[in-house]
Amino acid sequence: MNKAKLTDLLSTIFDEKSYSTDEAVLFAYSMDVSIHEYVPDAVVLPENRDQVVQLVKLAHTYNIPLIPRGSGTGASGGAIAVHGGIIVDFTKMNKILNLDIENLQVTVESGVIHADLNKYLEQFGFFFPVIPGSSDMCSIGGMVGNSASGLRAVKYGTTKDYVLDLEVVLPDGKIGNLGSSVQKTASGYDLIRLFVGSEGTLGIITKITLKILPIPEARGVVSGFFNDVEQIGKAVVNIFTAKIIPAAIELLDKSAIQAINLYKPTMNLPDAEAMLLVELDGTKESVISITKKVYHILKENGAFQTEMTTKDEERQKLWNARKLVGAAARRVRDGYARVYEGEDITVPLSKIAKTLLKLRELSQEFNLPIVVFGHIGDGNLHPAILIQKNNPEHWEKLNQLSEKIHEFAIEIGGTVTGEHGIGLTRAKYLQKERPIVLELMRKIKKAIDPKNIMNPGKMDLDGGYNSNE
Amino acid sequence: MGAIIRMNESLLNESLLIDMLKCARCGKCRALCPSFKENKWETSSARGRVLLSLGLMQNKIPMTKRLISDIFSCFICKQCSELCPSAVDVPRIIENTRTLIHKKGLTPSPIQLILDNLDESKNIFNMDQEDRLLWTMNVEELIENRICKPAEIGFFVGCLESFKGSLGVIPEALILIMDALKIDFTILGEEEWCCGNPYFIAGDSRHIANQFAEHNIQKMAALKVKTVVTTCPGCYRVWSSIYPVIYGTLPFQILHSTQLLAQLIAKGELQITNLLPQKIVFQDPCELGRHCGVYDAPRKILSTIPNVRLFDFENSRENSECCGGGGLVKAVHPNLAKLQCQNKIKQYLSNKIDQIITACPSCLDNYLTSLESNPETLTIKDLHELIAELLDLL
Repeated sequence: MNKAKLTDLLSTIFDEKSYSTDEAVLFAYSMDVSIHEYVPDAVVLPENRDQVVQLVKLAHTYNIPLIPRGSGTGASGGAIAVHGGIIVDFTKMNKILNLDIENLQVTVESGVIHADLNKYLEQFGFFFPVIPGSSDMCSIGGMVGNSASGLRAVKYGTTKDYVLDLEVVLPDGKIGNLGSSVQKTASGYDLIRLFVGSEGTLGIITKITLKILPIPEARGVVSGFFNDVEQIGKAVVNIFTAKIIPAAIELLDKSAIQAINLYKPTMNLPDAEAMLLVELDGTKESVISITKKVYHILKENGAFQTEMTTKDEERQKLWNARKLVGAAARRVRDGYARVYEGEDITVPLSKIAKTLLKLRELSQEFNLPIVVFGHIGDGNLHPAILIQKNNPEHWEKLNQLSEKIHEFAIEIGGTVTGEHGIGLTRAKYLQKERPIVLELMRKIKKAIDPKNIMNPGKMDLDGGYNSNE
Repeated sequence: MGAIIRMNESLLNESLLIDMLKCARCGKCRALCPSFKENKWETSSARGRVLLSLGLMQNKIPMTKRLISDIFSCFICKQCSELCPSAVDVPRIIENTRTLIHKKGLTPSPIQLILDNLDESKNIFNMDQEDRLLWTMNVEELIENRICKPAEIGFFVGCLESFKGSLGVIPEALILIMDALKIDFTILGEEEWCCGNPYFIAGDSRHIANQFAEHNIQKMAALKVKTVVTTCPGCYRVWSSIYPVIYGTLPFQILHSTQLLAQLIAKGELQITNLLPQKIVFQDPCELGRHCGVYDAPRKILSTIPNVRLFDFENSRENSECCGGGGLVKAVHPNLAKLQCQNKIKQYLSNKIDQIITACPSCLDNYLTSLESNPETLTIKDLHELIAELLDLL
């Protein structure tokens, strides 16, 4: 469709401040955090569900791809217009619609920022316990679309464990509520779990009802510094065998510690091969008790320096630095930038030490820095590869390196993504990792979105449209 | 910012490109960017503007009207860079993109008018240089024998305070304080030219600003001043950070007036005994705080006032949000500047602040405009005016 015609059509739904086909604007929406770049045909910022419905009907009529986007903080290329089309930016749909404390739930529009939601809930003593590192920036819609998790998945699970209901605009423009406002239901297929993590390929989510929990009375943090990565795996296993389930167990390797020190020099973390950061929560008494236990477990398992605190300010400082270590990774090597490839593998807990050693080996083999950190408590590692973006040889090496990382994760019984999603970045691995699942996914996609207008080109789903099934 | 002046173009482009490519696109800046909070478009966030700049530099996009508008909706408040995990120097990138726009003759007309005024009249208002002393009418006797006379301190007044009537109280107050403390000072009067800050912020790369720098430096040097003091954070940033890049080491030290007053308090030469039983907040001017690192001096002054309750928000000092008066945004997007200021006023009202204090003519000007429609319970005052009042000089 030509630009003038598209502009005309969009102007029947949106005021001039809420859509654009300007070339410069389109370029700014051609990327997310991933390395991919595809320019859309238009960008719209809906303000309400009705506009989304009208837009979907228009796209359905004219076969225009629609790509929902929260804050563009996704790392898999999920919010990129591979086949052109319209980016649907939910930034303006950022209202918290209803807090129902009696029924432990909150309903929000898709564009609400995660940190804003928890700031709002905090005043009532509640929280949405899934905490991604990008909390200050990412939207709840994006979290649902990508089945995000983050720092506290060990104890609290991931986004899919908290979604009670979704209002979805389906590819033909019909509006559907997929769940229920009660805490559980066995009424039919669990379509909530189907749509959570569907990356915008099945419909557009406009409203989300989330289960919320009371904020724990107290929290404690133990940090331990190790000179042997093998000891870290043992320490983690021993925490679990001591019947302690921490809220979070985070790992930072030598270079990640260095990145934090460069980003926040006042942290002054000691030089070590790796660091463990363990967060405990619960009642005041229990936190004091288990914090001490974890402190001793880390010591007994070889930590050469161990510290613990239950003070909010100190705890918060550590977490704030940890949350941004991914983006700060580039500070360890001048002239290099972080790229999001091979950055979200998840491996069995028993294989963490082996994985860390493999990553070091690969870093040396390719002569590219890899800063490693992640949610060791659930086996989710984030190797941050650094390259010189203006060096073509580095891009070539990056392709090979990320391939090796992903293949290694699959070989040892892991997965190519723990929480960032498949999108474009990992589409080619789905066939290898979960062939039957991909086959079913393609059938489901084709059944719900026969015209393939919902975020086409992602998750290797287009293959379903090329077959004659 | 000033460092770009001496680089040759290819080196500059290479260093800017590396800076843009550093960006991990994590979006931390998006969460902080004041103009994004209002506009909601990616292109009005720091991350988006870096992408626009990258697209232009790589010749991937044309210089559209929308691009120009978004590049000129940046307050250059530096909040993005302050917290950027990847250490991207966003203000430097924005100013360079403004330079590209200027070279094509596409600078927005309200800003081009300011630049034309500077070219023609050496001040931003296109007034006669003779009118630079209009603000002195209440302190004429105190300065008539001091203009362009050798002295210890050279007070550089700046265009906003010299020509805009509502801001004239700022230099007037400092003159009264310095006179009361028997400080040996001079001013350049009609010989003062604009510091040149608008040229830098607008991305005007014609190097005319260098003439302004040389003129002002030579005038002050001829008076053998040991210290140049300015009440305007914009002038302070230019004198302290950019002039040395253009001119080399300056033959005098540069102080913001709050630093001078804080030094006088520390020496015991300035004492405030009158009470101020109010809850006040200090609006950190972006060019004084994040751009130049001066946070403590104004707080040291204010905290010596008896009975005052100086309130610091979580988002003060390094995390302080721009008042909306920066980056020449007000000239192109006056509503955006006003909305940003009104957002800040709402925060102050909800925290039951009695009075906002600032030490910047742009902040004062923007607050005065934005407070017009707000309750009288909240007022804005310049720090120098406050101190002069407490010393019973005003």
